[in-house]
Amino acid sequence: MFLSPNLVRIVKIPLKNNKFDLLFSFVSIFFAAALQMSVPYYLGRAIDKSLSANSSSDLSLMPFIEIGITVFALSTARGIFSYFHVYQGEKIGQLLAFDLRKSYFNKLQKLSFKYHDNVHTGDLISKGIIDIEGSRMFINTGILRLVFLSIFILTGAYLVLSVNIGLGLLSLSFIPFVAFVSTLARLTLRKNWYKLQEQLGILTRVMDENLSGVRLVRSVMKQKYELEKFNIASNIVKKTTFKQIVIKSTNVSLNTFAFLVSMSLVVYFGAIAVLESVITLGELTSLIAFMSILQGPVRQIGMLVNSFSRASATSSRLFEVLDHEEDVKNLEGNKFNEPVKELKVENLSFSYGSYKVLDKISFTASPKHSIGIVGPPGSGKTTLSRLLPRFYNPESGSIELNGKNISNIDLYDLRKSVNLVDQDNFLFSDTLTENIRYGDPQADKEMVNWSTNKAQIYKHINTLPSKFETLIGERGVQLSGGQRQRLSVSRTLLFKSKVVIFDDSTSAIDTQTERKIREEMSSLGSSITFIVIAHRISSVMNLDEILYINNGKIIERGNHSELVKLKGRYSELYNMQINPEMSIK
Amino acid sequence: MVSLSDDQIRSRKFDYNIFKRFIPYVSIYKKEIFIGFCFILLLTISSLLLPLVIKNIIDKSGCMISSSCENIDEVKSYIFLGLLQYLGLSVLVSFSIYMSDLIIERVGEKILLDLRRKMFMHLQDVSISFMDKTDVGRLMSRLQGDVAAMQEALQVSVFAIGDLILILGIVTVLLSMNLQLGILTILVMPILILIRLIWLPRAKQAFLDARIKSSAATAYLAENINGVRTIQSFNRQEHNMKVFENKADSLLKSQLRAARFSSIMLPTVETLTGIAFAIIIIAGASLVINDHITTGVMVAYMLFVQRFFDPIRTISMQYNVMQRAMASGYRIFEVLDIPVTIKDPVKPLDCPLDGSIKFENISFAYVDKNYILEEFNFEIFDGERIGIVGPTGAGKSTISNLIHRFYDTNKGKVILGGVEIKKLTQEYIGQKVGMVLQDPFLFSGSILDNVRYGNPNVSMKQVEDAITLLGIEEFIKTLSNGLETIIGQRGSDLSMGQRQLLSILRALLADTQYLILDEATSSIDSYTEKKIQSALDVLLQNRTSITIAHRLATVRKCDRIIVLNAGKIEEVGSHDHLLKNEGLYSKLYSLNYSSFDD
Repeated sequence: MFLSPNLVRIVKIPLKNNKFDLLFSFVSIFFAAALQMSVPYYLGRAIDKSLSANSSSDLSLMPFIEIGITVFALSTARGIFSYFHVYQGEKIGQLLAFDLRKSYFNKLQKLSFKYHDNVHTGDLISKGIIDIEGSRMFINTGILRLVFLSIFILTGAYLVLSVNIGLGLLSLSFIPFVAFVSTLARLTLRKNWYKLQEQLGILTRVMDENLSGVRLVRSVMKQKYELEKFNIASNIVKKTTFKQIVIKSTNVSLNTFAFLVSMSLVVYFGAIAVLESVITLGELTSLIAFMSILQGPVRQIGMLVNSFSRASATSSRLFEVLDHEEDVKNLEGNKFNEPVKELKVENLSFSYGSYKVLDKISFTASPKHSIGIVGPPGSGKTTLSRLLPRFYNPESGSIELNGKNISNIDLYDLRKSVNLVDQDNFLFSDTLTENIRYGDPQADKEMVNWSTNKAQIYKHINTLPSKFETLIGERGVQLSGGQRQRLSVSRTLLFKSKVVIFDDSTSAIDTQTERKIREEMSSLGSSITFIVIAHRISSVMNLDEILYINNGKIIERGNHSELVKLKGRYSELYNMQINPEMSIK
Repeated sequence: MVSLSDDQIRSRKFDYNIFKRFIPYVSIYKKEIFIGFCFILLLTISSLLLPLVIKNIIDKSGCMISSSCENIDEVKSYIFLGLLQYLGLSVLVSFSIYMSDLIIERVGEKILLDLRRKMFMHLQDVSISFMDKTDVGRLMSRLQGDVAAMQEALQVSVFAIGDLILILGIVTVLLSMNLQLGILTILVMPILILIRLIWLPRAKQAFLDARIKSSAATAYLAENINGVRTIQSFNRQEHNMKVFENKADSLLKSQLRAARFSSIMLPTVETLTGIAFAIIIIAGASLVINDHITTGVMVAYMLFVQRFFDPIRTISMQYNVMQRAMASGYRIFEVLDIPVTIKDPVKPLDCPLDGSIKFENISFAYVDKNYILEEFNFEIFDGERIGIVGPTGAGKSTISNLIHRFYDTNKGKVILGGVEIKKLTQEYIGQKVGMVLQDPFLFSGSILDNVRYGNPNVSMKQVEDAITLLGIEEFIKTLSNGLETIIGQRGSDLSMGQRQLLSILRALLADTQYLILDEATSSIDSYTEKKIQSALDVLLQNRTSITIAHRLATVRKCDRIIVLNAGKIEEVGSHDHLLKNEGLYSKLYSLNYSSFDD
């Protein structure tokens, strides 16, 4: 268990980048440990000297001043080395965290939707906090502490044994016991800690859901039931916590007891040995002082073991992300800057696992031939919209821009050309301006005004207290669904893509405004290809070709009047929405 | 209106009022705290005695050197007595460590749980108006982070008292063994205190800075994970990487600064220990030589000095914890102080209701005088099916809020089944009035538990019948485990339309006398909605119901439709009647608009 491959990798990072810091830290550790161990020796000498001076009535204080200054100097030097020992350790750890943090961030930005669809964002965030922190702490509390403890205990053992073998062994006798007990306790605590986290998670969920679902809870008047749920979860947490407390307290008191018992034996047999003149009183004093110094670090053996096992778990979780293969690989350098004349989708298929989402979809879109897509929920519309900017790789079939397969186009250029206005229009906790020019941070005020004007949100923004500098998101102004959608439309406008895909992203905007926005977009001079996915027939009815998708297949296609004449699913949907009279019969 | 203060404030000056309010929660456990405290006292005394036993033993065994031993055996038995004393004290020390830790930590945990339960219970009664405008995340951080900070502070303060006693004890023992040497040795203490005083505010600033930078980096990471799809859409990866690098870099710098501050105390304490040792060696030796003290005393001084600084160090750190706890305490009591504005009557009625609803001259505003409903009068008869349509902000949902008494009216009365709702308990209203909301809430757990939430006694058969009636067997079948499927994160794996279906099913099973459907089918595709409409025809028979919608098709079959506009009734009547009326409704209808918001 000691050095799993992941731990080796963790250690290798500072070894590669911060060799000097690491070396410096080892040197400091060595001197800090050795210097600390030398102090008791001088304390003992002072005692012996004072005894012999007392019996010989030698009143000179010179030797004591000498020893006193030596102890002072040693302590100060030791202090300085411990400063470097601790600071360097911290520094290496922080540098490691810095490296990991950056690679983690970078990796997550590159992994495709396929990866992000399958992980919980909360998990990713907590990995980014807790697991990086765990790996960082491993440097100080794991690797460096291991070095420190080894040097410290070995020199300590050597020094006490050189005073007297028997008494030396006696004064070391508490070490194996304490090491064993505290390791055991730490590992048990850790196991319990995981359990506790899980139980705390349940408690959190109970509280969170109760508060988030307050209307439901109140409308069916379930407060008593909810309190009962809370009490159960809370009591489980309490029980585990109490167990933790018992383990901790037992560990501390057992270790103290073991130490005190060996101390008492050292004092007793030491005193007898002094009586029998086997050792001097000064030597006994230094033995006692050694033991007091050793006590603290020996207790850390448990933490050491804990740190190793914790770090090996955290690092493996972290590397799992860092080593994840990027499935949407970028072929850099294949530039694509031309206007899009044609977007051709041919026999496109896609599956999630064994579930076929899209089955042989083919269509061609161009600036003169806009495409509308309708179909029941779960029919594959959103997946299709995400395949076009290559957020996933298709399973089979192809997507071509002006005859070039998009897999061969530089991702940056592809996504610059093909922009998706997603269903969940994510806005960042930043000012409105920054959100609007998210795709083009250099855009000037005029451009921002222009795009918000076109997206019919300019007026509303100007009614806000800080206008364009208003903060939105968690700590800022709350926006309605329609406002959010208009903002994301204006963001896309500013991005100036040649192909724009709306995935049900204007559902909260009325049809007239929606149409107007699209007209404004097409009248911008350069030609834009539209693909519009919607639940509302009115959003797509005036497009050149409409595809009705069901279970991943196109089952009807044509323009609005053709499809209405067909009297199939589309016309049924149309009637239901526009003319309920006809459908409810 | 009540609202919570800023969460960002990390520390507060000591405030006696907060402290005072905390007392009732602590005093429940005064017996335990007293016992725990006794053990701390016992621990302090017995650990102070340990070096003194060593001193006695050393003094006795030292007789060989000064050749003043009268009888070796007597000395040996004296030393053996010393061993027994030491062992006895060891047991005492270990036992009192165990007991004090156990008792104090347990009490801390219990107080934490009490506080949290109290807050949680209080939040069950707080009015919906408060809950509507308060972010759940903020309440959660008070229920968790702030409560934990209080618990930590409590434990720390009890152990701080123990540390203070220990310092006093050490000082007393040092002074009583030898006044001169004692004074000389204790002199280093104020030096450390002084250095700590200079160090503390700067270090605190550095630590705070590191924490702020850390949360900034974390927040950015979190946002980038949440918004990764948008980031990839807009090619922002490189730009964001640079922003993050800056944040990570300034985090690193402030962490290193904080590390320098925390490491600097080590050489300080070591140097001061060195000075104390030097004093003991030089002054002590001169006292030994002149027979003012014994060697054992000198050894005891050395042993005491080794643990001299620990309590001072911990106490000054604890000051920090206390300050943070003040801020947390303030936030906790802020939650407990939210007034409960809607209270059940003292003598509630529980008579059967006749199925009617009457709104008498109602005016209502969420904020100040911004009236959503004004002079609203309307009567719904038993078993009637009422539709309410109107543009966003017309006051449609307000009506359902008022029936449930989530809010009190500013003027006028809501009379439910012949009884004014203020005379009923909210629980009773809940039993009578079912509700399907636009954004249906699901608990994590199985689908079955969720649909039975309103009525846990519903049988499997009833659940299956209801599913058949709604015509959603197929949807249930697509779930991996049918009704037993566990839904994650509040149903995030289900679409809004699917969640609405489950929520309708839940209301159906609750089988209440009244039913309010508030935009209950807004996210269900037109196709499925049609199927549900026919199920609702059966469901709403012999039941008083209100259907709120902005889609015209949703309310078409209602007995009477209220067209609401800006808080006033624009027109009322059946679908046919409204068409003939040639008002707003018929205008929208003839223009082929499917909803008010188009």
